[in-house]
Amino acid sequence: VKDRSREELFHRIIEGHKGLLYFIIRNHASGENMRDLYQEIQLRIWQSLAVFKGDASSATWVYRVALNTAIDFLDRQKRNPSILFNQVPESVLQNMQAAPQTDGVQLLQAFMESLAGADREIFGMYLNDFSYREISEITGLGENCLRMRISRIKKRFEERHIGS
Amino acid sequence: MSIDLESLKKAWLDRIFEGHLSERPPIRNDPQIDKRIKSLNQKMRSRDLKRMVVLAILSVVLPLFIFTPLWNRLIVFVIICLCATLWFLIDSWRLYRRSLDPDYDLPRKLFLTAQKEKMEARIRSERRRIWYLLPVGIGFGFPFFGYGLPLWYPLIPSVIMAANCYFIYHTSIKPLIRNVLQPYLDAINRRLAEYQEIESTP
Repeated sequence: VKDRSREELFHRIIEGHKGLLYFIIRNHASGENMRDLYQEIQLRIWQSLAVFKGDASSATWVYRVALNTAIDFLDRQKRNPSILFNQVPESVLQNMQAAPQTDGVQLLQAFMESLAGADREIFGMYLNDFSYREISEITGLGENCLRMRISRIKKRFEERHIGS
Repeated sequence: MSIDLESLKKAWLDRIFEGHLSERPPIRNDPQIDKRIKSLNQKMRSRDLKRMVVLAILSVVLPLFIFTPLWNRLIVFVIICLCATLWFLIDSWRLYRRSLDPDYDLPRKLFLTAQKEKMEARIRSERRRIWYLLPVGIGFGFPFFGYGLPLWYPLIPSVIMAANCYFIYHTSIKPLIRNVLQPYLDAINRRLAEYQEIESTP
């Protein structure tokens, strides 16, 4: 991708998928780390755009880059807690932190947080309305085992919240 | 009353893509972002590049000793340094090439596998570093041969330098592996194991 169109594409992708990006950021960082993760995701999207082939939907592609970055960020946090940039507008941070939540949404959030690593990732994709094929493209896991896994997670959710 | 997951999911999606998020200032209001990204990108690579340039210069300069009167005395030391330098240079180049691959858009499982391979290569490379340092340290005493001194005299600077190199390895490289690289590799392995567990569950 040439520099000019890469720049335009970058802005369009960040703008178009900010909901997904903030979802991933909120679920993998808190406080000041949200700023760092947001910056790192932007950096990785910019870098990955150089080899962007367009063979997946942009939402799937963005989610893949952002999720890989977020989990890599979590794993690396202890070894390199440096701040990459410090100029993310404060308003962006405030918006990321202060999300108005209904009871149902809070329930989903709490349930998701109770899940372990990979289940949490998969359930997050399910909540964000990715199809099984798209989740398979993001995770690299087969569609059938994803179906099984998601149905188990749903069952767990129902068992926990039936009658509540 | 049971809770309907599908209707909760709808509420979830509405919450993410509407409301407060649309009020967020667009990223293009921050015109410096591309410049900052580019500059960070350069910073991340410049350290590796600098190291490689220094090593390349050394590997050119060291053989020039052949044209000096010191050649006979320095021959062993120069050869040892040159071999260590070239070895280190090749290794640095391989690591640098690996770090250039923007593989963050790989599916998670492939990404984790690639990260694991990179980290294992990095740990192997850090562990090997003692073998670049020690020959230089040991070779340090060789130029002192041939001054009519007892044979064990040149061993003194060799031993001191070798001990220094070992000290550097113990105080900087080993802790880096133990406290930073290995925990990161363990975290990657744990995540890979989770994926494998999902795949193997009937």
